[in-house]
Amino acid sequence: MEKKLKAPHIYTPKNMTGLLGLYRKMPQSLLYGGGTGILWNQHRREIDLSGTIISLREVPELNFISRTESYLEIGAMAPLNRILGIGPHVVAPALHQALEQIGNAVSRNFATLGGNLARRESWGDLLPILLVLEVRVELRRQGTAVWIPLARLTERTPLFMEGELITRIRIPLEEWNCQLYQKFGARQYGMENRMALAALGKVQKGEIARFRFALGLGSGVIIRNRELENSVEGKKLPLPDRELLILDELLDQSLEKIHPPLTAVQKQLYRRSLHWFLQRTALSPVEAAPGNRRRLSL
Amino acid sequence: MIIPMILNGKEVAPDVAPQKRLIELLREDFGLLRTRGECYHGVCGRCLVILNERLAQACLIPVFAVKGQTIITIEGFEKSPEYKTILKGFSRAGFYPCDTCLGGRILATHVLLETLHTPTDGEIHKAMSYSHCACTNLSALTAGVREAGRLREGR
Repeated sequence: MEKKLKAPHIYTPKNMTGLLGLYRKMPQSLLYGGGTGILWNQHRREIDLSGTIISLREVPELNFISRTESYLEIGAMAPLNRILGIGPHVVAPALHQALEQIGNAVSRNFATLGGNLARRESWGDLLPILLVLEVRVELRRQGTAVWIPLARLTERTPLFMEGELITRIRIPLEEWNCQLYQKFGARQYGMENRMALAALGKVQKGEIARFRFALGLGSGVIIRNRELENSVEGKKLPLPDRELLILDELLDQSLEKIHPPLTAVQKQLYRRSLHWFLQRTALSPVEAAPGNRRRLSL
Repeated sequence: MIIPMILNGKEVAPDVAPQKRLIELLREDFGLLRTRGECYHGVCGRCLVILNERLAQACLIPVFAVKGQTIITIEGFEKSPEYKTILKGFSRAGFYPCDTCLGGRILATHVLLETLHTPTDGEIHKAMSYSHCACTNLSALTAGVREAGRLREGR
């Protein structure tokens, strides 16, 4: 017989001031947005949600999308389907593709960008593309608000200070003529085997003007090697084989630092993706666009 | 905790544990048994309801999250003229899903056709990708949704 669970205390603030005040008083509370991340792994009939819950549903400041010439600003509680509704002509196609691969069409009505970023367990899928897009997040506590690069947030332990939460996400609207987002593995075969790759490239006059590349693992580990990115920038296309060998060395160095270590298959996938992206880019920027990508295989 | 909501057009206010799943509330407290809950995981697509005009998986929503919201289950939707139109569209296209899938497919078709009057095949596939039941023949489903759209538009 299932043990009866204790009912939680639920608070529903109506605005940001109320939310920040409540969260400051009760920093141990569970912030409840769309709920997809919290409920995904609960298989009992009754949901285990004891303690104090602060529902974010009625805070309008968290549920908006606005756009300027240089960036897209998204409230932490805006559902993914609403972001997808903006279309790949505004949102970078690689990000659009990444969002489309989160959950299913119905769960994306509730899943949020803020929820995805606030939980390390869900980083593997979306974080690589958000990192290469150099997204910034606004963190708020009662009395303070600060914008920081997402990369800096991911380096923090613990992620949030007491009473602090993500309120807004700012995605730069930069033009990239080569984009890639590719996910490997499926949830049912184990989170540790999942990988997501994101790459952005800007090719001008036959030269790689800008290049960014990141890998996310199911364990929540994100790999981004700036040295590798810098070594590619400014190179004439097509890249000669010796350049690719140098890249492989840099890649191996960055992969050695990862704990737990990558499997041989993961390393090979990472290496091949990098080569594939650079060679495709070299052939034709259009062909490397996500819509035209072909599946990578070993 | 008393949770007021509008269920199938009626104002109700059940006194239930706030962490109870919406699917359990619908089945146990209101006897709406055509909304089924099997996976508690959001993947089987048999617990679909319309929550504030959006599709939702009733197994992934605690009751406190629907306070003050509008819920339509397949039992509530079958009283509407759109229900018959969609069913007719499915039947004309030769799409006959299993009993456990039917409710969800009808609700998903309705929500899709509310936003897109003539969806493309890709849009239909995306909207219906919430479940992969063995009963579903994708081309028949696509034809069924198209036919339902045509009937709704009076074409």
